[in-house]
Amino acid sequence: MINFNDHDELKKQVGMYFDQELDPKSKVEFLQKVETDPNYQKAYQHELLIRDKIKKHIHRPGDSSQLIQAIKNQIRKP
Amino acid sequence: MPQKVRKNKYDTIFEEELLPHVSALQTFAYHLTYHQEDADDLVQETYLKAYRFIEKYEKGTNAKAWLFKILKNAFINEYRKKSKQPAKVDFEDIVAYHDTDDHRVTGYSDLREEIFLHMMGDEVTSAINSLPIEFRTVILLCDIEGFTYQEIAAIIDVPIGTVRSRLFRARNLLKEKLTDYAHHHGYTDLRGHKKTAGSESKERDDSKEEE
Repeated sequence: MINFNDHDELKKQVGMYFDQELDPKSKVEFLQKVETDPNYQKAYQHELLIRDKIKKHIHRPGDSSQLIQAIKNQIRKP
Repeated sequence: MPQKVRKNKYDTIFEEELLPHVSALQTFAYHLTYHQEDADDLVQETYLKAYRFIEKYEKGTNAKAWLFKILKNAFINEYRKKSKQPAKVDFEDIVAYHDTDDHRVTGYSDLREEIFLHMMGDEVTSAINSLPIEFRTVILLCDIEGFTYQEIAAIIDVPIGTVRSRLFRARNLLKEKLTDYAHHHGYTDLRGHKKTAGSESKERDDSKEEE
């Protein structure tokens, strides 16, 4: 059983949830806490926002259509 | 007479299950090589290897994880020898030095949202690229690509406890670097940080609300 009172435990549970490391039962308990506990809601929203921002800000190469075509050409070589 | 390209079942699997991951592999390869052309070469090499061994791939299984593993191996075993980057410390040497097997899990709860107000985009990439390669790899695989610990462990050939350990250290390093960037751009988080000479003029009023 998760100890939801401990702040460190809260941070750990949030991290584990977003890392897909909670087992199904703990995930349900966690999401119920997010629904009902403002501290959990705040921590959840914060983590979601930061992770989204990191994903959004990272450099991603642009259009990959040329590379896809090059790969196709390579594998079709006799 | 033009010869019609014949498609066998492996071509169909290749196009339907493997090729859709090109963009994700390009992003991963770019952050390993720091060079767009090298990254594209690495991705191309990955797909050629995948096609060569496609009989080993089981349709409907985790194509993305399989491709990332091939790419990681290609990078370590062959590609870095040809890399235009200056010589780096061997991947496995660093790994052996840093690794521990623990169960610590951390997220970004102590990283402030305001930090990103000052960022134009390059800072996150620079911060991630400045991490040692074993830490950079787990951040990219977990936080950018959304792989589970188990998938990451399979991709980089380490125990799950090692994935946790690297991720824990990697995120702490990344948070430090992003916070440093924010400080450099004039934002100072007063929580738990000692003031440095001259920093007061740069502190934002809103950070005082957090005291």
